[in-house]
Amino acid sequence: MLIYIVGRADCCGNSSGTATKNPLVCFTNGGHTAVVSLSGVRRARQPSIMTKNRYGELPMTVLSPVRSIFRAVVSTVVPEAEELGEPGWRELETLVETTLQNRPRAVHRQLRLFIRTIQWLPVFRYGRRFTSLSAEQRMQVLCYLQDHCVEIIRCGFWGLRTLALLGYYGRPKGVQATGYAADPRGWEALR
Amino acid sequence: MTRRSYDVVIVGSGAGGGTVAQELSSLCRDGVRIAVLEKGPKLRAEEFTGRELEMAQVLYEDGGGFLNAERIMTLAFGSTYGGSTAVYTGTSLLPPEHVLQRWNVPNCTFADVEPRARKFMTENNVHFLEDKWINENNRLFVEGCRQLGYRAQQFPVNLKGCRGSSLCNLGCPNQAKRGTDRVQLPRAERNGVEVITRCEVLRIGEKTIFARVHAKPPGGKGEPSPWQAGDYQIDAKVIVVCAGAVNSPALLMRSRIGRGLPRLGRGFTCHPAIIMVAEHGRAITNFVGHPKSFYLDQFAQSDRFLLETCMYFPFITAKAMAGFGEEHSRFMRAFPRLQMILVLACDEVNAHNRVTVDGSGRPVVHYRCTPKVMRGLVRGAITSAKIFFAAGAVRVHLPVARFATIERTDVERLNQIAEHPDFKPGKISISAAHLQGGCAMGRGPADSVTDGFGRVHGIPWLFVADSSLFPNSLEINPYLTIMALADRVAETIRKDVHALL
Repeated sequence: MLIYIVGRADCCGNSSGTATKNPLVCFTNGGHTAVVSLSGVRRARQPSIMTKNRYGELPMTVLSPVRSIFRAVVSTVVPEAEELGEPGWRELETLVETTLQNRPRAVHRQLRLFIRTIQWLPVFRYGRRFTSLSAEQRMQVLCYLQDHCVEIIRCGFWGLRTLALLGYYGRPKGVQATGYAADPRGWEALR
Repeated sequence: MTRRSYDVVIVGSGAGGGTVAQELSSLCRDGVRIAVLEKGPKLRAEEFTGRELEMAQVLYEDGGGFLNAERIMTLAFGSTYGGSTAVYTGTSLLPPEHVLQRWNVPNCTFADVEPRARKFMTENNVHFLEDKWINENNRLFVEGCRQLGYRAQQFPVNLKGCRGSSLCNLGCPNQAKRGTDRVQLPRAERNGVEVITRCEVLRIGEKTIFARVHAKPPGGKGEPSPWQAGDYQIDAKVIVVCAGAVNSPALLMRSRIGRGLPRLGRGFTCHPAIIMVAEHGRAITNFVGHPKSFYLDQFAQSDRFLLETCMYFPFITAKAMAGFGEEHSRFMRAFPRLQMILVLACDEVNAHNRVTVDGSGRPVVHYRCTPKVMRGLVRGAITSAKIFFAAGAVRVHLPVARFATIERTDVERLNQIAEHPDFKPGKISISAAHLQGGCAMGRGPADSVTDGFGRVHGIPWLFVADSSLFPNSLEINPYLTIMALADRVAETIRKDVHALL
């Protein structure tokens, strides 16, 4: 369970800019959020957004310990990610963390373990960790996992690859870079 | 725990639940109290933004990322007011006669089901889109099929006032799709049916439902539930379960109703699908206009696959393509030039493929692709590649090939790939949205869960009315058939109303 303190007792901000009145402390636990407030305890199931702390940051519960490896994986899956600045990476990681928030904690542990395995696996072949490899070598390591003869390893990589793609192409700038520009006004917008 | 009482409670508001609600709503005039319990929220019109992750998170179960137990396939099903009818493309096909004959369910004949499906075609404004509203993504499919001598057919769709946003799968931002959220549920509500959103049914007891109403999350989308957050015990004389092919069997299982029903959860099929992508040398109209206007079913019997036009959003497209790196990015950066086809395998009931529940009662879908299904997907992918090239594509992404990018100059490779495909579950992104079976209709408890009218064997007050009733795959898009079967269930309840209530 993660507990984080909300600095002001009258405002618990969120990424859409709206505020919950009067909370003191927010808890998140396996996709459930509880807000303890002066007016009692409310329970919200599977929130669609994560609650920021007083610095306006999202609690990095899953990726924090493996962030540098995760970024190296994302940059291999989507080479354009190399060009992301720190705000871009934070945006990408926030989307991934938000998605993971609704998954069981066992999945979080499995993901971290898989990412750490990717870091150490190349030592046997290249004598260096994943983050120290060239782009081409990283590509080879991930191709090895993607085509592995053991299905569960392929599935593990598929899951990680999916998160990388979600983070990159879930960002408005990632969408913009593809040229995709669907508009609710449809044909009218095209004209 | 708060206690409530109704005569009829319907669990779920999709094609099944919405239809049952409307068809029973005339009883409200006689003082019959009816409630629909929907797990998801009801969104306001202005909340349909078309933004991919934001909408998927709100409208789909698990944000559209519900994984099967083997983690090789994602299942997409709606969890909102209107269920999956709020997030499908509106394609509305009549049930095929040969499938109903093969189902061989007593009293459930084509002659009975088909006119009911036609009734909903009229009610939900099902028609063919005018030619001027067909985009190039669809036209190129028709052209490619024509070049190869295939018979592409147009989908009848249930649209009214479509502006061509192409965002059907994220909930129409223009409310143009005539799902149960726009037609049946509002009519039922006008007649006196209560719809309780954000209400998750935990289990069913003897003529009782135990449910939990969730508060609207801070900053979240949708209207708050009409009931206060908390736990409820809801007494009901009749319960109709319409929670879909995953949640209906799971609900009956965690309610321990399956003890005398060995077929509960069995017979799950889903039309496993892969998305095919091709790049043209020029920009085409693809993310404007209705995304799914044509299909090809002439290989359904011989090769067990269907092809449908489609156009997905950036993340889903990126996920659907195999591989990663520069080659993957090149396709993504070519989005305005992309054409897409959805390949669906016609799967059949298989002993392994079923729905169970885990220790906490959550549904678990066990699904493995049989060799027949894999063959169907490979043949469908190869056929799609041929259609793409016939339509003028310069390169095709073929996820069943070891090296997925096939250039136009290298088209001969297709036959080699067909002979030696590289189909590895866990490497290829497989998804499914036509979830069927789990509470099959049939003759008795040994071969099914319900009778031909959706009544659970041995429990006269409990009915099922959704796609979980299908004894085997429907082989086409299922919504009209679900509505027709739900209409039969509602009629049965109306006929027995005095005995049941």
